[in-house]
Amino acid sequence: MLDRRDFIKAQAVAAAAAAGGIGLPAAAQTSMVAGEDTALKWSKAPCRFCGTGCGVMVATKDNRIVATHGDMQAEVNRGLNCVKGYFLSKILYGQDRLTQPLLRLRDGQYHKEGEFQPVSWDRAFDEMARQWKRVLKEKGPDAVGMFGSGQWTIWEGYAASKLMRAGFRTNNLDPNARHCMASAAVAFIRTFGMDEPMGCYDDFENADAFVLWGSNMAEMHPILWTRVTDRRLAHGHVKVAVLSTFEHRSFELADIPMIFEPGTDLAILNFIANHIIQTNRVNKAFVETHCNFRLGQKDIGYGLRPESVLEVRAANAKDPADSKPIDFDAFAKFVSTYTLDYTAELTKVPKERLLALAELYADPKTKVMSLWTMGFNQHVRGVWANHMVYNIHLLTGKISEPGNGPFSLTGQPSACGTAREVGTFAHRLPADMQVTNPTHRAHAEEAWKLPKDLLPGKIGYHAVLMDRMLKDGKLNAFWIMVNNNLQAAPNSGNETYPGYRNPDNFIVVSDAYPTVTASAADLILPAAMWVEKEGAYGNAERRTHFWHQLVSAPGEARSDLWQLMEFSKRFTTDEVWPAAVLDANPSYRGKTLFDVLYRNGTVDRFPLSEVDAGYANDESKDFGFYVQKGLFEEYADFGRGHGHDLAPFDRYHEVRGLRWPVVDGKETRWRYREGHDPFVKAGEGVRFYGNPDGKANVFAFPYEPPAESPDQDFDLWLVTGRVLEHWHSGSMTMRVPELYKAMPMALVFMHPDDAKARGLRRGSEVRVVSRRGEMQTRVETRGRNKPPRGVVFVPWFDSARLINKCTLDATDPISKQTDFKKCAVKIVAA
Amino acid sequence: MPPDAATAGPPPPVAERHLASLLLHVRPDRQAMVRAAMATMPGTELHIDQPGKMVVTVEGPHEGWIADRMTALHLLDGVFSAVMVFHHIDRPDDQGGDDAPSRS
Amino acid sequence: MRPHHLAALAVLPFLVPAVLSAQSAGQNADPRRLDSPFRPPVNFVEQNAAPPIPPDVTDDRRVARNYPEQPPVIPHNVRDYQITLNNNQCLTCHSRRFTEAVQAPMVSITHYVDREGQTLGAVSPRRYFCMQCHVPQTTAQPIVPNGFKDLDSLVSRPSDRGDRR
Repeated sequence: MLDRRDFIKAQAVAAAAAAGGIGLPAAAQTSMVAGEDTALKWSKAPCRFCGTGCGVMVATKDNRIVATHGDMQAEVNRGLNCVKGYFLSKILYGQDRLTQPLLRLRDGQYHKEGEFQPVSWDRAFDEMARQWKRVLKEKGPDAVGMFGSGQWTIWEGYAASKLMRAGFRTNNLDPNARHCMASAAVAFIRTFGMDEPMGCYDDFENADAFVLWGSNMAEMHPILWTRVTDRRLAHGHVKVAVLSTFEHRSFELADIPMIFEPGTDLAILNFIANHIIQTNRVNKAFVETHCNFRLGQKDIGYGLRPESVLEVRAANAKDPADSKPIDFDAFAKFVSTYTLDYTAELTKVPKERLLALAELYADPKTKVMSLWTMGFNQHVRGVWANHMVYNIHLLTGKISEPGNGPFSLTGQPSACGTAREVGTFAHRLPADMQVTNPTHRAHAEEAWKLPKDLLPGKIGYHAVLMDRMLKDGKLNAFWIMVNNNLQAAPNSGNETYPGYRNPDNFIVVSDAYPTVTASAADLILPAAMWVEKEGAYGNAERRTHFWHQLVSAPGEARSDLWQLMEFSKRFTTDEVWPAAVLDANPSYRGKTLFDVLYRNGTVDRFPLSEVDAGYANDESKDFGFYVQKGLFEEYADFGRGHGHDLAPFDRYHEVRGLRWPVVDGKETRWRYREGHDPFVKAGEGVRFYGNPDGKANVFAFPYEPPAESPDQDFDLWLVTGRVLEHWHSGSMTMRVPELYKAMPMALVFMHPDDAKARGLRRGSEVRVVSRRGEMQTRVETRGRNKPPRGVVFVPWFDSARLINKCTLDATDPISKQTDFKKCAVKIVAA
Repeated sequence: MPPDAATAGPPPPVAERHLASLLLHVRPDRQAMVRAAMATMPGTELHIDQPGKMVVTVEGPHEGWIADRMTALHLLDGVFSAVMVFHHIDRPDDQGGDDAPSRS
Repeated sequence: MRPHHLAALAVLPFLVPAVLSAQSAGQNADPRRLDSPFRPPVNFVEQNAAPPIPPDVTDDRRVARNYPEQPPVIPHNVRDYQITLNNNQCLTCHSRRFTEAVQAPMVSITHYVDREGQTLGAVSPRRYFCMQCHVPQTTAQPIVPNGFKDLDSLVSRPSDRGDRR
């Protein structure tokens, strides 16, 4: 037996060596400890969970993860993790991991109403390909689709985009990031001509004020919250403002706490713009040089089904994104109606707090960082809210410099890296290009070595529309990867589940665990997760971060990348491309999609010998070339030289991530600012070069009410969201015993007086009922979330209590992102 | 936040053993002197010694003891920084003590 | 016919009670049980009755960690603990000055190091909100067992050694 003490010591030394970037010579290891058995291998990886992108060190032994800790060398978190991150070691080991494909069978044949039975990968893909070919033949490319994720690795998203757009010739590809930050992405492009934040996390150590717009960073971005806390507690002059529709943990640090009526954040934003103008604190030089002003379309509807009365009544539901140029004076006049009196009355926020908040922005000496996530983005006017926060930063010139900036946080580990940068949205191509733009499509066809006019120019179905089209029988072959949409989608009982179980449809779910979504599928494919494959994520501050495969996936589980590429072998171009394209380009005839998409001379150009000998790489071994490197390098060429520059592949395995654009080996911390951003020339100072004129757009929008508000029958606002201990739908964290025991079920958080008025108290069993559906749970009146009267909060992590049966499938009409924060419910005793 | 000086504490209530590993960044030309000074500190053990960087473990009866060692190392001439990477507590009198093997 | 795969069979003893409770609660239970590989009560169509809110574990007994870097869980009640800009109730017992009087474990001295790697005289502000990492536990029993194995069980168990060679 080994001496435990020596062993612990060896581990301590190994951890310190890893933190210091010191390689442990094998001899040193054996001399320190009582045998080779104790040698651990420590490797870096980004955390699997949120968009913060913390670095972790992962210890492996005998092909298993045995420990994880915060990476001291990772700039993002410098050694810290949140409670979820500290338990990453366990997320792979839930005992119900899927290890074989499962197909619904009856009497040995696939049957929509059959029972799940294990089948081989060959059988699974045979049936899947048969169904895909049937649908393509009967209805064409518009009837197949894929719902992916901001949890895909960069190359998985890229491979999926190629397979759907170029292989099956449809843009019916959308990520669950649509539910998460589509509003942020759309507003970035409309304002700056380029997606993603101009600043970075270094702003945390430079700001004098932090404003949380609807975000509960204390629970949802805990490590970034440690940086806010650090700055606030160590520097007495720093102020923190926290705005929300209910009180939560982030209020513990608030100097300016603010509870507002749901949806009225729009009025607060316009009030601040008005205050800046009225008190003569507009940064005129900045505005004249760097800003255009536009008047946006109003009365744009709520993204519901077109026959809905709210859509019929809306004046501009058909062209919600329109706008026209105005000047500064017109903008000033537009926001002048958002007076202190009007805003205080509408929002129910005390006037002195509104003024204190407005002053943080108006005072030219206060460097202010605005932070938001789902409060703004999951909002029927989410694009507007994003624009309006840019407005107040642009009016004051507080942007693109250390400590000053609007910062859109993300909820998924690669919402930026995969969903946005790779472009897995129904309207996007890599590097911010659009499928509707013929020049962009031609560029992609050339980069992908594909025939001209192959790529479709029609925008595909977005997330909510996919569900509607499945239900309506217009989308019939559907592949869901790395997400749990039946638990996540709004109004799921009426708009999601029926589509999955529609007899015309064949639903495939790739996942590591048997989720609710998998339970409603026809074929389940077992997926490798996290460090069971080589991967790359892009976090919220434009940081691209790689990891190696550290352990093997269990059983027959395979990565999404392998699944996508292997499936592509079952189709020839003759089966899926139009005859006209093949007639004009006969050399593509008879080839498989695998040949034309992945063996195109670019993706397959790096041999296996370039794979790091210290790590396994199951996909590359299977396909015979360094798959990840080839895909990444082909993808990276889209952005190089255009402000999306990525470093060479190998560099990312050496560093703790780099923030793009990476030019001459150097990352960029503040974009659009001379001296920081290599794309801004000397003498320009600031240039928003995403737009041809180098200027950012300030948009005028009004306050408009939510799609549904409480009334006599449904008398409470329902707000949904997350909790610290669980990540999204809980499919990973609910399988970690410590996290499960910390927060085992989704409760309805409500005000004690609201409970009392209904004859309820803490622990009462209740039904949460909306016009669309209901769920059953227990009342919590003393928990960490303290809603005001009239508001209840229910988290959505609990597969046994599906709150999204109650939510409304209203979206922002421009971004098509769902509003999960505002609908009407009643609460009755069960 | 309450002040919390990390010096001279009360004796620990139970017989604990603390082990910490530290990563030191050191001026390479002073490394020999640092090594010599370290040799005079009981409970301090040098494991890795390469130009500019050292990995050291410190063992002692309580946190304050570890913190004192860490401060002493930090103050040595030529040491730029001493960062704790790992901290482990053994409490032999605890049943299934703080760091006993998990029985999950 | 084998309706589900082996991993699910392995966890079946754990599934049974919950499946039964889900069935008794479901009013329009679908006669075709499609959820066999699924963690109960994963079943989209049924409405699940809510079990009582489980109480917190308050036995003050330290729980074994899975690995030394894991933050220990909180073995006592923390309801209504005040953590504000001016006051942190956790530190009133766990900070160094008070641990003797209340016999609470002192916060690890890793918590005295700031973002720049400097050791401070007090707990670093970045560690101020304790419950970002340390969480209480309820008495709820996990539905799905977790097969994580810690270092010790891989390294120092003689039988394990035998198995691998």
